[in-house]
Amino acid sequence: MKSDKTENIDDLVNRCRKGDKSAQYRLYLNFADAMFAICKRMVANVPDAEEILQDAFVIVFTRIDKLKDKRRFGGWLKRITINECVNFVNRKNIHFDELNENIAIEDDDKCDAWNVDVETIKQAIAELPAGSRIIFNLFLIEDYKHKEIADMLHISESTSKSQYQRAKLLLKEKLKRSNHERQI
Amino acid sequence: MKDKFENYIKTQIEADDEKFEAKEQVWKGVEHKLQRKRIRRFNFRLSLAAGLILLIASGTWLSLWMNNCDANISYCLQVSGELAETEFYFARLIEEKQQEISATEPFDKSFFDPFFDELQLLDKQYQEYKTEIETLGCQEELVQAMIENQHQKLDILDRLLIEIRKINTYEKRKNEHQI
Repeated sequence: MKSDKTENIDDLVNRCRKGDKSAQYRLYLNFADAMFAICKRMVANVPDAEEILQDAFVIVFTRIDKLKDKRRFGGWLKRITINECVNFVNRKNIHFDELNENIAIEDDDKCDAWNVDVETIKQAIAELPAGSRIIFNLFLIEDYKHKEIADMLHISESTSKSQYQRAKLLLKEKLKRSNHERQI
Repeated sequence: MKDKFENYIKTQIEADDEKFEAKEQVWKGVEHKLQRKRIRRFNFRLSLAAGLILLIASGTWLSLWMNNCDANISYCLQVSGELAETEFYFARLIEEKQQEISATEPFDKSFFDPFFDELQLLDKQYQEYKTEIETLGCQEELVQAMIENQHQKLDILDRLLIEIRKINTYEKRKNEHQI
């Protein structure tokens, strides 16, 4: 059985296909928070994230006729938003150098002990170098595979892996430092 | 497979429900961009329609023009100003010559039968050329043949006028001598 929200989204998608502006607005309100969060995490810059979000919704509303299964609207919108973020990154010509050094990350069992709030985590992710941050978000948060990331960003799979490891290490250090400062 | 650190980060991020403050402002931007896209699409369709109309109009005009060219030698001659001028030139000369012939004293037409037979033949030939032009289209060779035909007609009329005048003078003198 469909939930009320799903039924509501289906109906909004149908109305959007007919060019109903109020349905477009309601659909936008339903997803704007989540999509903006993705954009902001990826580009770590509010004006750029807003611009990407605008473009993503423009693409969605102009191509909504091409969406075959309206129940997959959410996933479709997310894919378009991530693609727009990737296009933005590619336009910026960010260099993703393959890191040759062996990055050894020990598995830390004391994660709970950090007790860092989500704002600190988001801030730490935003402070990562651009290339590492994008790969970290795509791999860990958006569940893309390194092969897919490599194709999207026109880099090698090993570059994606090494950049991810670097991001993970840097993030761990930042969070540890932040936790330590808070405890003092 | 993800380790504890990765799972911790992922869980924290996914649980985050930060509200996006500038929602209305961004929506206005979306609306504005959609509007611009609609206008651009409308303009594109308008230009396409205008182009299509222009193409159809040009095609129709060209087709009518070609049909007229096939059907009408005068129109065909308009294509070449030089040919039209030549046709007009001969038509005027022929008319002048015919007026001169009409102005001469009455004469016995049977006396000049060979001339009139030749003129009749040339007129018939001229009509055939016209029919050919209607069927085969506006061909320069045909137009040249028509001009040549008019040239010959003018020559015959010229000779006819000379012969009529000769005969008339002869008749006049003969009458004077008789008196």
